[in-house]
Order: sequence, then structure tokens, then C-alpha cells
Amino acid sequence: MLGEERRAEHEGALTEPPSSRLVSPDIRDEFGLETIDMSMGPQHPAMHGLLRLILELDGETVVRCDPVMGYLHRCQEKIAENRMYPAVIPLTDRLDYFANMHNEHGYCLAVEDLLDVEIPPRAEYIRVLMCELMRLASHIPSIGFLMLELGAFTPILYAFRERERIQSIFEAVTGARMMFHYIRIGGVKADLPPDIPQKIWDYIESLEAHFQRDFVDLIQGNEIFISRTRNVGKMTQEQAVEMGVTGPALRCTGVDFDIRLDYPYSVYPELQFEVITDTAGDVEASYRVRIAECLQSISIIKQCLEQMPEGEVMGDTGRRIRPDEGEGFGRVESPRGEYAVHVVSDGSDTPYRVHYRDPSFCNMQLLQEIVPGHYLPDIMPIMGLVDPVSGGWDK
Amino acid sequence: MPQVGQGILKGMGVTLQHLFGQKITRQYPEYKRELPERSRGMLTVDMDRCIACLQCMRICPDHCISIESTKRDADGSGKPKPFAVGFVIDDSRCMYCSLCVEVCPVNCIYHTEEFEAQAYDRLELARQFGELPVDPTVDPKPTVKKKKKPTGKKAPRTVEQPVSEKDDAA
Repeated sequence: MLGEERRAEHEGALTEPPSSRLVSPDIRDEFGLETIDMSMGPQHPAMHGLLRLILELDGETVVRCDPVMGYLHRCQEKIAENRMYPAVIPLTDRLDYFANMHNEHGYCLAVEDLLDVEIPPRAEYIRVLMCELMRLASHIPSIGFLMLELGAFTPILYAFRERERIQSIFEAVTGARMMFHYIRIGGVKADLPPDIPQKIWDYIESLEAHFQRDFVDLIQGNEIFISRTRNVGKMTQEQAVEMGVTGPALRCTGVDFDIRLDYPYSVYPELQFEVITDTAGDVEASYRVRIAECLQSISIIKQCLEQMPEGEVMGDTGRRIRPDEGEGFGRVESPRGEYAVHVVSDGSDTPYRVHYRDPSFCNMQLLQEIVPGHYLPDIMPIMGLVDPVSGGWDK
Repeated sequence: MPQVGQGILKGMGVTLQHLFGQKITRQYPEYKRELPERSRGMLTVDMDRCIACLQCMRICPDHCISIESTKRDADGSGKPKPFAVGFVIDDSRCMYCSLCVEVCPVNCIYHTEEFEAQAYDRLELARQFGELPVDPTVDPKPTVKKKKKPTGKKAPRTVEQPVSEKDDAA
């Protein structure tokens, strides 16, 4: 039987049930109760991307949850080894397709670490501006997805309305709505078009004006929302730190870890912002953290527009990028957590090795830890807490 | 204690406000929005300007450009120059990264505003530009070889001289 082997593997999980909802294995054996193996996904309408969860169910309670990935694997790291350094950037766009700018930024930081190139201050500001817009374009839909998984269809419409507007800004700046290829090694591709700073400012003002109404008044305080999310996916700080979780999923437990402040990069030291934390560590707390982070991003975007200096947008990298032998490392705070890139150079014009540390992949192991003991319908809100993107975990 | 149902009513109020707001959706095939200047659509080539330097073919990460070039005295100056006889852009491979546009020294390859490509056959998406058609199924850069790392010193060659049997016998 399929379950027998795996049950032996997860004997620990069965003898120490994380929740009192689980029937004790002794009672289960005495009465001859059986658990049911169920496969959720990869083609599940509510599932985040192409993820398969192998579930062991005791009635409606989940005993065991094993994520199975690999349905969107594209050998990104291996392909990068056969391409020249600048030609890897369009590939990084395809990793976490809700945080394309952060992927490009992380890779460029790693290669710039190898090259030791100076980046013009205007380019740094444009990078941060674009990354914070991207964070808005990722956090707002994640809230929408969370609500969609709870059965509310309205918030996703409002969330995608905002995302489409931000994408239009991106299209005017970079030329594409999703696969930007904008942040380059040594700077950015081109300066902002002359009318764009005003457009971004107007958009941010309008978003600020109706953010409270469309995403807070609509959701927060709703009885169904509270009953479905409060104390669901509850985890402690220790659990989250042990699992290597980063991003909003970690900050909602109360750990104030943020790469932008703890390992500052680009112009973040010159900007004023707070790290948002919450103490509850459940799905509702992660929603509150995301909402507050959106407001922080709005403030950062305004500061960037105000402080942006004039000047060049591309540093001097030479005609051909060929770093010396060595290793480069770059880490950024993507909307889902810490996104880090490790590039090893052997002195040729193609990287010897590129490794991506993607937050979607690393946060995924949280599922095995926190899902057992919950009811089957609680899995989807927990996916909203972890918020993985399939392009990110499969690479 | 707040009354149960208040939160839901508040949310319904928000949706009610939106009911009387302006519509934000557009009917796509009938309505087409204006694309921004930098928008990256399908590629096209001005063959009159192409100097067959093959730089776009070399930089393309997806090997979607294939060029067949010869030397030809096109402008009648008596000096044969590289000339692109065949030029194919395979749209089924292109990822619109714009690297070829940036690298072109004469700006002969550029993005158009066209973005709706559809075909029943994959090969129909390969668009020919030159006089002669180029086979798009043949990879223009079939072997990706890693260049030997350039070291400062040249390693001494230690190739042993082959000793032939004849010498041995002698």
C-alpha cells in the first residue's frame, strides 16, 4: 500500500500530533481506523501554480502533508552556465514571475560584486523605485489570492486592477509588462521617460487614496475572513526560524528580519522605512503584515521620487563582461523573502555556476511543519500565508 | 462587542460604491490601447541597411536569428562586402529580450508594435526576410563551447614526440 512506507517515515509526526484534532495512533490501531491518501494538485484550480501536495487524511484532518515540486522545472541554473553574463538577465525574469525586478536586481548585484563596478546614484534610485513598485504589484495580488482561496472573488478584481496599472508604468519604462530585462549589470537599461516620475506620483497618490477602502475596509473585520484565518497556520518564532522562513511569513511571527535593513544594499540606508512585524504568526497576521508593507512601499516610492538625483544611469562595465576568477554574492528582499544569487566565475565570459536561493522554495518546507492537524479546507489559507510562486520554487 | 455582521456589511458597502464607479475593463479586440514608445513587439529587419555583421545572431540567447551571408559587391564600389542573402527570425523562439536591437550597429533590426502572432504550424512563425529562405530548424549556434579560461601565463606544451617503430628498429 502506498501509505505504509511513508507512514513509517513519518512515525514521528504521528506519535506527536501537532494538534489535538488528530486521533492518537493507538486508538486508530485499536479500532482499525484507516487514513486516506489524497493527492492535491498539480492541476488544482485553487492551487498556487503547479504544486502537488500528498496528503494523508484522517477524516477531514490532515495527518501529513508532503509538497511535491518539479512540474515547472526549466533547468534555469544549468542554462545560465551556457550563456554570457548579460544574457542571463532575461532568464532571471522567468524565475519568480511576481518579483521579476527583484530577480534581476539580485543577479546584477552578484555579478557587480564580481566585477567591482561603480553604479551611478541615479541608477540605484531607479532600481529601488522599480523594486518597490514591484513589491506593490506582488503584495496586493497575494492578498487577492488569499481571499480568492477563501471564496471571496471581489478582492482579486481590485488587486489585479492595481497590478495592471503598475504594469502599465513598467511597460512605459521598460518596454514589457512582465519580462522587463531592465536592470542591467552596472546600472539600468535606460533612463525613465520624462513624463514617468509624474505618472508614478499620480498613481501612488490615487492608490493611497483608495487603499484603505478597497483592501482594508473590504476585508479586515469581515467575520468570515476572521473565522477562516485567525489561529490558522499558527506557528511560533522558533519554528519559523528553524525552517529558514523569510519574508512576511517570518515577520508575522514577530522576527524583524529584513534584508533591506539587516544587510543593506543599493540606496536603502538613505531611505526611511520600518520593518513591519506582527506577533500572532497566523494567516490573519500575514495579511496585516502585507497590508502594512504596501504602505511602507508607497512611502519609499515617494522618497525615491523626491530624492532622485540627475545623472548617468549606466556604469562603465566595458564592452565585454568578463570578470576575474572568483565568487560573487547578491541578496535582495523580494516580496516573498530573501532572494539571493551566488555566481562563480572561472574567468571566461560565461558563468561557471549560478545558484538562486529563492524564498518560494525555502518557505515551502513550512507546509510539512504547520499543515498537519488542520482541516483540509485550511490548506488553502495556509498557502496564502506562505505565498509561493511556482516559477520560484522550480527554477 | 461589535455586532456580528458589521464587517460583512462594511465590505458590501465598498462593493456597492464600486458598482456606480467607472468601468475599468476594455473589450480587447474592438478596443486597442495605445502602446508606449518603448514597447517591445515582434522583431523586424530592414534588409537594405543590414551589413551582415552577425552580431545579433551571436548575442541571441534563444538562437532565434539565422543569417546566411556571402560576399557581394552590392553598391558597385568594386569591393565585395558581407551581404545577408537570407535572414530568418523564428518568433516561436524569440523571448523579446531586445539584446539584438541593442547590439545592432546600424539599427536595422528593431521592435514593431505587432504582438499578436498565431499559426497552425510552428514553422509558419519563422519569418523570412532575405532573398533566399533559411532553414529555421537548423540551429545557427549548435555547439556551445566553454572558452578555455585565459590564464596569465601560457602553459608549457608537454607533447611527447611520437616515436615511430622505424626509429625503434634502427
